[in-house]
Amino acid sequence: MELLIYGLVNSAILAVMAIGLSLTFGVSGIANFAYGGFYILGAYTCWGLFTQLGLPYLLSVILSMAALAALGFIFYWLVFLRVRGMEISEAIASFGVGIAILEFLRWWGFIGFYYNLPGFLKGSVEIGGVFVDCHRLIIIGVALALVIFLWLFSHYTKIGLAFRGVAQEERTALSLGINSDFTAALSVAFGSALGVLAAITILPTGTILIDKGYDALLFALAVGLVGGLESTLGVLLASLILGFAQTAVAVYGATHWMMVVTLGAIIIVLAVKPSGLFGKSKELEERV
Amino acid sequence: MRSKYFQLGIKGLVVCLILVVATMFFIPDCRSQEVSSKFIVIGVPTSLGYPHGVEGLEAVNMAVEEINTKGGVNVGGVKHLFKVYSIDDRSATPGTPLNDSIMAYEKLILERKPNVLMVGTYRSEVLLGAMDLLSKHKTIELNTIAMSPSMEKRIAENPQKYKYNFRVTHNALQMAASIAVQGDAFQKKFGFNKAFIIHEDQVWAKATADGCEVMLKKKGWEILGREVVPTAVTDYSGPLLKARNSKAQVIFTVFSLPETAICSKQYYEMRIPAVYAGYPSYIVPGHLWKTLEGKVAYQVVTAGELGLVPTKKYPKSVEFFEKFKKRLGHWPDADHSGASAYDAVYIYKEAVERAGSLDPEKVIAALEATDHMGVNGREKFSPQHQIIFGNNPKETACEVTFQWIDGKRVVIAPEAIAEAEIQLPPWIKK
Repeated sequence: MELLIYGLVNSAILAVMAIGLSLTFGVSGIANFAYGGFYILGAYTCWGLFTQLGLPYLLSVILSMAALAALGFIFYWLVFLRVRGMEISEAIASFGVGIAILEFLRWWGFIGFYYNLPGFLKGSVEIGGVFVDCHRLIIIGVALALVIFLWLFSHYTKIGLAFRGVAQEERTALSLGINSDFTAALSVAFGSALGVLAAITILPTGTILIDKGYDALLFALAVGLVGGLESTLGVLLASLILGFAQTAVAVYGATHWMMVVTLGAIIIVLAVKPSGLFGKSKELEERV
Repeated sequence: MRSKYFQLGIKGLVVCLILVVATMFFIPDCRSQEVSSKFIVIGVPTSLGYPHGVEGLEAVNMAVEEINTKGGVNVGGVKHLFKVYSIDDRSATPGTPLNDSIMAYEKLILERKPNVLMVGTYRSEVLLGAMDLLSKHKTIELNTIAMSPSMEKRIAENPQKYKYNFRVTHNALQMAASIAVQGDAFQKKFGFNKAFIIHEDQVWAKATADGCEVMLKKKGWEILGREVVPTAVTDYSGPLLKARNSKAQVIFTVFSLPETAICSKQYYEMRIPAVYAGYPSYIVPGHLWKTLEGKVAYQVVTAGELGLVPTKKYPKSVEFFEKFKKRLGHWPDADHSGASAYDAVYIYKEAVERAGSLDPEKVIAALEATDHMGVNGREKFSPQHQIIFGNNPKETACEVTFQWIDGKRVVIAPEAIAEAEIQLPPWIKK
């Protein structure tokens, strides 16, 4: 029961963390390495709106997601558009922006242990002799809801269909009247908003810390590499594999090896299937 | 018309020049360049993006302002003022190469030519690496953050070479001893003798946990397990469940990374039937009850410096804490460094006045003879240049153990300054 509950919670945390990054890559083909910066900037924005301006929490969440989505949209036109198609430049540019955001926040004085977001639900419940806090159970719900929402969104809405069209074949999508740059910009905006949602869901388990931005990027990349960065199903499966493996190692082995499991999984997948479990990019490249 | 404008322009230029010269003369910074020989330069190489570094620097500035306001330091009959320069050595930032931090030390030494360095690096590895550099440049350092006892070991092995290093805060072994004192309190009041140790994956944390295990075993404790937690973990259920399943009565933790706040919250939410204690240093700040929504209730922690967890039983600590909190504009975040950095400035001032000189050799001899009543207690250096810590602030410097009860930090050890007895969380049956 211990493994089941905390394995699920751990998997849900990884899935929520990785889905925003996966969405952006799946649509625009851009691995947005500024993701960690957006993740933490969104958390501080929400904290500021809620605690400093005294806005209701739900409104703070919505406004911070909207603000970061707008920032992501602008970020695409200012930075990504200029380097699009040049993978190395995209990686360097986005990574640079991410570091700039995080270190700017540090310079601005966002250090220390003052910053915290409230959990969605207070209290703990006992399941099969194991206590688990309600907020962690909500994280599992958020992960499931996100996956279902993304599937419905990408299959039954015009924007979602445009996302899939650009992801599958950008030139064909262009010939059908889909503005690929606008769609890609929307995907970066959407991914940034999902990053904020991830931060608001995950960070109440501890406190808001700038270095968590680096961790978020690292975990999202690890999940993406194992599952295939452009596949939502892959991200979900990789989260389950890594989440349960980490928890099993911590509960039945030595906690010290938790991170080694993640790194080991990345190495094995890169050696056996470089695009990840559900990724197609490498296979397509080789076929061409 | 042209000549009228020309004359106006010349007059304007002259007025501007006079203003510039007058400004240069009256701005203290510019004047100070001319009389820099009457300044004692304090260099502060530390991580300026993290609480221990920021608050250490603030404490140094606070002490310096107090001393300068009263006329400065009497060096052989000549008054000198303190001047502070800092540099960010980025040692706390994950991934910063060791050499980059040591280079920051060297840059500060070469550019500012400080008489003394204070606060210092976060990482013991950098502290140890910089010891040779300090020896080469004959620069004294009064360190207040890094805790590895390897510094004393090196000084003992080669005192002539490494005599420039002093530590004003606690080291890992002293922290281990304080955790063992916590063990005494649990044994005495509840008869507990079964413990589980969880610590983070850092050199100093391992040294502290090693020391803690040895000392607890000597006092009759059974150590039922020990878990090392890697950095960047978001879930601590594994080690906490192991502690629960082992039937431990007390979990002694050794944590300093801010992310380990997750462990405190998760312990509370999982209702683990063992007391959460040790050195989870992130729960020291006075505002943590509010930040963590009360999920630190009944948790026990030893703070490195009495000045940062003040008690009325030692009024100097209260006086410093109130001043420091007012200066920062908020509760201090770091569990150590602030109070010891403040004391370090006074310790150095007194040493220079006793030596009557700024010559490092004479100042070191004077520092070794330090006997200062500071905000952390009575401060004397061991032969290996480590401030001696004990259990009574009137006799030695003092760490302080407190328990979070109803939103307040209640001091429970050492006995000389205890305000109340240790309590069990309501979900634990004795």
